[in-house]
Amino acid sequence: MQNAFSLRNVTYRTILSIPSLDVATGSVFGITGKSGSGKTTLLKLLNNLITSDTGTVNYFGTDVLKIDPVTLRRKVMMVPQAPYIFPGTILENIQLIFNFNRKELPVQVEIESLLELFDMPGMLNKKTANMSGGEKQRLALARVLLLDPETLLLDEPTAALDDENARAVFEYLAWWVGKSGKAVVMISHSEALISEFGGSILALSGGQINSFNEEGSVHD
Amino acid sequence: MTETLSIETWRLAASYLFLVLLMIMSQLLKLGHGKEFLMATVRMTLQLVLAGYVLELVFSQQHLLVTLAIMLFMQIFALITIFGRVKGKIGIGLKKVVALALFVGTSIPLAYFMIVVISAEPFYAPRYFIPIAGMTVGNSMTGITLGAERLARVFQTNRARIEEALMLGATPQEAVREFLSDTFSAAIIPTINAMLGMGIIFIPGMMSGQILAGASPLDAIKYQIVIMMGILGSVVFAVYLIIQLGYRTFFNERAQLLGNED
Repeated sequence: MQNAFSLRNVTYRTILSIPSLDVATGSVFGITGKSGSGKTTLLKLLNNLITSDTGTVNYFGTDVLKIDPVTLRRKVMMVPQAPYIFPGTILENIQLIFNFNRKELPVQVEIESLLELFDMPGMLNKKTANMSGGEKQRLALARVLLLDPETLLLDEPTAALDDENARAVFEYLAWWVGKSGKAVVMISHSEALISEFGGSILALSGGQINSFNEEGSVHD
Repeated sequence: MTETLSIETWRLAASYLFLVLLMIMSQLLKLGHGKEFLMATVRMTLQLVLAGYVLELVFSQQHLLVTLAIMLFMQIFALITIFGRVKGKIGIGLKKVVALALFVGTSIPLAYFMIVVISAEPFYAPRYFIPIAGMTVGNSMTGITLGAERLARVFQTNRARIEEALMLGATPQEAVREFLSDTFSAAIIPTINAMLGMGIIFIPGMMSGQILAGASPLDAIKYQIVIMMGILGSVVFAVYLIIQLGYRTFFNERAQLLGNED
């Protein structure tokens, strides 16, 4: 397995300090920690929404600063904790981010089947203004999965979901990374679910690595 | 042209009657703004008297440098006024764009109108150049202030939304596109409204002035149309510059939204 990300001596203000970290492809990489522990900052360093003060962040061996930032973000796509759903219909939302990425929209059947998998059957023309929090979070995830990026960065993607839907999302993501050899870095409080689906878990505390359980190792 | 009706000094003095009434009302009703009313009137009178003498002097000598110096003075005064109004609301990067939008945004349309449309001899004849420059700079000042304030507010209130568009692969321009068109409309609306009501809801000041000074209404409207087109041109141009260059000041060269503290 390759490393999607390699971080060396990375610091960002007083918020985060990571001496060394590798994120492998092929499984879900979980990040846990309390609020303010630097989790979201770490994700933003990976797609260069912010630049570290010291050290390097490499993406498949190339320093992220040597990659055009917009190109990088089209490969390393991030979904924030409280995703913004654009006005209009679900289909228009999907169309918009395909436009951002200069990609052709997939055939409608493909979109419909992914939405169905995310518990939103037959909702392609539903107005997003009438969607619930859980539906918005699932749409945010579905629209990036349709784009099929190289890597996904997810900030608490199951926070607004019930247990059943959260499990379905984990199952799908585990299947997605498994079949494609891609990488998913996910902030989550569902440590049990990450473990169940076989990922490494990085625990942050006060911007430092508190513990790191690599995939398959015994938890301490 | 008919003869201009000159106002005699005692009649001019009589026009202050309403200020006296206002002062008395202010005292009787305890409005408490008497000083301000008096100050505003005194300032208006002194400024206009001064402007009258300066313009008499300027009009008597047609010199390109003098005309340009007066225009520069107007632009600098407008810039100071804008900075005063947006104090603390916009950053240094946007302030530079404000200055550029004001100088370039007003100078180019003005040059076009003076050379091509008005075509006075010489084109910088202060009698034409200065009043028209005043109107274009003044109106552009309003448009730029509205545009800069609105732009800064867009980035304050929609940070998460703009940053999310970046996360989803948008360029900075795509991330803010919907906000830019709203900002543009908001900044030019006062000019458009003025055009909509012109001639029906109100007779514009310049046209009234020309008619009072003896010009035929038909000549006066020609000037008014030209002036309005000049104002529209410079407001649109200046606002376009402030928006198209202004939004870039909120991003760095790595297409990152500036001011990330989390």
